[in-house]
Amino acid sequence: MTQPNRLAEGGEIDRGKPLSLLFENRSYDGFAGDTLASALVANGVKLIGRSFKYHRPRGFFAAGAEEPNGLMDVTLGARHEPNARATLIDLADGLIARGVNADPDLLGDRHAKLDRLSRFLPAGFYYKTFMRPTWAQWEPRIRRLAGLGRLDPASVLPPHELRHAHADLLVVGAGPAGLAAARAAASAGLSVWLVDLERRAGGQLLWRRAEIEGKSGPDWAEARLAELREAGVTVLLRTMAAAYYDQNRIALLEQRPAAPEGWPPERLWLLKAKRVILATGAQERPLVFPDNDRPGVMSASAAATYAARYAALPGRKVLVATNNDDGYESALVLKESGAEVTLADIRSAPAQSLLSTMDAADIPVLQGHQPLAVEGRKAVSGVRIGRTSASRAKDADVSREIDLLCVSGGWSPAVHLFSQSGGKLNYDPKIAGFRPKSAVQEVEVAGAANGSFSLQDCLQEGHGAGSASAFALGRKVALQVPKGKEQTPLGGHAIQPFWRSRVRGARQWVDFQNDVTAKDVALAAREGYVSVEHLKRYTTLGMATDQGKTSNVNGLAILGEETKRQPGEVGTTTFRPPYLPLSLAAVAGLRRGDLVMTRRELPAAAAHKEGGASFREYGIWARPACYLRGEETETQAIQREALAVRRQSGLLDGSSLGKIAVVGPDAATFVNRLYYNRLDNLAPGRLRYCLLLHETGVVMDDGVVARLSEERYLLSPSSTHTDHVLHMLAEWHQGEWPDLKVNFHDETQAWATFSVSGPRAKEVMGALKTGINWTDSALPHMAFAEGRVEGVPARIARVSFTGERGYEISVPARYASALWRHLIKIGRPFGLTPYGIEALSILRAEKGYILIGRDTDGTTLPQDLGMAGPLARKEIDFVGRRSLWLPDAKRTDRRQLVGLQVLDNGGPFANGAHAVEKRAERTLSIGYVTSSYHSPHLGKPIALALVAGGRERIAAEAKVEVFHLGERRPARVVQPSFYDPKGRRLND
Amino acid sequence: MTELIAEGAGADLPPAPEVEGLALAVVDLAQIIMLSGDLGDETFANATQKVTGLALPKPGEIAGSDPALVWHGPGRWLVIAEGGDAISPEGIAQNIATSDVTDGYLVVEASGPKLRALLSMGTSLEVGEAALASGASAITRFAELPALLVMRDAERALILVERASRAYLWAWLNRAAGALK
Repeated sequence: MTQPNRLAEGGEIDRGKPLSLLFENRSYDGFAGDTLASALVANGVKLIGRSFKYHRPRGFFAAGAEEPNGLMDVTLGARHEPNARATLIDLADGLIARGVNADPDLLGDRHAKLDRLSRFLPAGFYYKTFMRPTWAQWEPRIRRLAGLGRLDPASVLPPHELRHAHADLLVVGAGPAGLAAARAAASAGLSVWLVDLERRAGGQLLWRRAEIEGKSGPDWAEARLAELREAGVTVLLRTMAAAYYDQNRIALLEQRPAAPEGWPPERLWLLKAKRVILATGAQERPLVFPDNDRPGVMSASAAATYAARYAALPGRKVLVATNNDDGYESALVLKESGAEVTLADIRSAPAQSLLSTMDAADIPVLQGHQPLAVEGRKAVSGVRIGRTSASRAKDADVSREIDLLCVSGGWSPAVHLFSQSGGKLNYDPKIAGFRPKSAVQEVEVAGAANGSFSLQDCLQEGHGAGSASAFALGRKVALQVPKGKEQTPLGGHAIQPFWRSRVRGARQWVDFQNDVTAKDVALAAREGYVSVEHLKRYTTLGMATDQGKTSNVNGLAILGEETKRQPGEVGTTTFRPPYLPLSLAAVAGLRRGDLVMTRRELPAAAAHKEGGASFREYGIWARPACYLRGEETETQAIQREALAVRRQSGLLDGSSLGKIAVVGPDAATFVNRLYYNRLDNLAPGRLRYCLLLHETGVVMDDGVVARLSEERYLLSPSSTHTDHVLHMLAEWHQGEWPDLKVNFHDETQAWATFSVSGPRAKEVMGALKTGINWTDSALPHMAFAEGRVEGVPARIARVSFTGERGYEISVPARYASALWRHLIKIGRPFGLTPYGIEALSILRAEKGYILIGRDTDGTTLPQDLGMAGPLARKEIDFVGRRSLWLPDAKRTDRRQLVGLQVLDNGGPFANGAHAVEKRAERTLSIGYVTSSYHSPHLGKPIALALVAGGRERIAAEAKVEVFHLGERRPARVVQPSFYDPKGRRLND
Repeated sequence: MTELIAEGAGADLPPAPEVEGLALAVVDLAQIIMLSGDLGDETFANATQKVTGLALPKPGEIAGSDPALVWHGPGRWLVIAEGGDAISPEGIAQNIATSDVTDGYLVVEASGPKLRALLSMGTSLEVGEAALASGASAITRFAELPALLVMRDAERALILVERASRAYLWAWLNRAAGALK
């Protein structure tokens, strides 16, 4: 028989469908219906991974989501998944798996010797040791030692489907409580979703010996599930409730083998439910005793699960060690599966009913006994057992040769999702665990997740929660609570806390996944990490993918013992989403490649591409940085374009500039209150350059405002600020001035805008067919007119951001490409050159025109830019005004906009380079370079900068040093305008 | 005079994906007019009625079909016309703020039995027939973009997004439709 631990009959597996897998380069057989873990258990594989820190050999501890050791790198076809939990991977033919934290493989792991150095590597070792010379130098080496699974760079997950959904009720968990809840709610007509991480409904009914309404547990669960589907309940199995967010929104990761071709077998749902019932069950904890992490030490319920569900018996000679009644049921299941079982109960006087049942089943019970020592390194071979009070391994009074040591340290309600929902927990000594105390969202917890472990309690609570949800949504439930019966009389799920053994010497493991021992917890307490949150960070207990599923309660209880506090006083850490890891690809959904970020394209993008445009992203807009000709570089193209605008004429696509119409009888009042500059006296048909401030007085945006008519203004925020300005208008209107009759429309994308600029711009305009009178007398600088251009509706504005005479022509966006091509054609005789954002940046910097966010920062006030006039003259209140009168705003040593004249031959300064000066033997930054270029027109470098006391330095013709990457260069502080400071060219 | 050739918002986009149960097509609406005012202002309501022939729909609703008056957020509506000029913005009475934004949108018509599944991939809104019925409009984020959904009937919707995001939306729709094959 190739599967030595496979039972001859029973289980959910299909013996008619054999499958094969490769684990650690060895071939094994399994069956359809196996998980990867159950197949390995059936094949007698004990060593399935190495531990994270010490590279200790590890075996399976659990059979479900709480498995801390069975993380594997799994490959199936082209799909590779690192750190997959073998307990949740359905076996498939040809599946290839390897254990993690091993190099080159599990058996020959070259880092296994680290375990021998463990006494030198306690908790906190890394924090204390790898500080010098720097952590960065150590990190790569440590990463190679740890780091869990390995990514396969050749395996790239395709885009994933992500869907949103809504329901009256979400029930998480399809065990007895969840099924009862869904049944009750569905009977009342609620729209219900029922999800479960397992492939089958039933939860612990799938391995426990129970009967409900005359049916076996699994049969009852199947019948209920069919009934629920029939009633229209959305049932998703193999689906993880990964995260619980605000407003009862839950992320669900569904595994679906029948995905469309080319789509991955998982799909993410974001479900918003009016109410949620968490019936997530409970997870069995380990017992903490020496060498309790050896392969072959397994949760008792997991061993029973492997045997009952998968016909895979993890061991033939078994010791079950328990501190609670439930260990007895696991022992019975293992015994019935053919194992030779002994039970050691830490309690000295378990209930008589338990002892009678064991006696009838021929299972010897050692009362008041605990495991003192485990024999075997890569697989358990024996155990020494002694009194619960014993503190030395040699005090053992019983030795057993075993191949499986089952442990039951009690059950921890799976409260992770409840905790994520914001719910608070309470320690309950009756279950020696934490259970939900109070919820902050519309959520209820039922069954074992609520600390109610008996079958009838689960059914009762589930039914009650379903009924309560129906009632809350105005419905009633007529059904009765299902009647369940536990076949084995096992007392009342009683437990005696046993947080760790008193045996000295060998290490006792608390957190298997993060390699944290009881000694580590004690060390943390001694070093003052007595808050459970500090303990977590110091030792890594309960961190990462495990989130403390099996370790949290034992760890904090040990901390309690060390600090003489009860577990309830210590409290728990915060359970963080996701419940189990999920791929980033699932979270990203369709947003891969071109769809990672939304990007706006110009309406004439096609025409720009024809003209050789090199696009870059400026904020959310893709705009031409420059237009390449022949073999020239981008730098050459940018310099050529800037020079062309100064000497002849240039054409820029400014369509992304905002166009917000402010309309209504109170439009003038509204914009006047909003803007720094006065706008109520702007004549219709005229433009004004204005600043928009935050309430703090800091410059938020700049742009030209046009008054189209008495009751209509057109704002032109900068391209990347348009959305923000629109929100700002709405906020001030709704929040402060709702009485003003004014409306705002974003017209930005309805119009395309092209700017013709340069000394020959007038000639280009002359070649354009338009009925608009654009002569200087009719359309002077900063004026605006509407009409038609080349037969289509158009607006022409006299405005410039280059310092040259400029005309902005706007037409409906549908004509964008056509007008661009037409302008290029008619402008050719006048040297009309298309130019991009980079040339524009040089041109405006030569003039000293600022870019908000580049030549300003989060402290820049209008006065710092030399625009103090409106503050002095504007008499009404406006946004930001009061802040501009604060003493800080009047400091003369504020960082102010200046020009920097380069005094050496080193070329342009680096953007962001600091202006520095020496004060009292210390070199201090007094500001920084904001915009720096080589000016092709001036034939020299230019720079704008924000420098402390800038205006006084200009007046004093002060010199400063500009510091960058260890180099200091001289500069003179000058006026921030290098070209035509009097603005004569605007009208030439 | 040189004739400037108009290009619709859907110009040069790749062909629509072929998916059984889902049809996608770019629609060139003849006119999209944004108008705004106070729903409680009788003068405004009357003026709108006079110009469009339609009563102002309540939030989340649509009035008429062609032209249709579509709720577009608090105090704001869109007049959408498929067949021809619905209204003349210049001729609109006082108290109505209008803008011709016809060129500002890409309009995609999505139809078929898989429409709701497609919508559920793009928006977190409840898109079942009970919540988003025929004749409903919704302002939402769809495919990561600000969008207006106009439910023409149970299996036909118009999706309006800003023109500049046309390529993004179309690529998104193509990819999403692939999951519905």
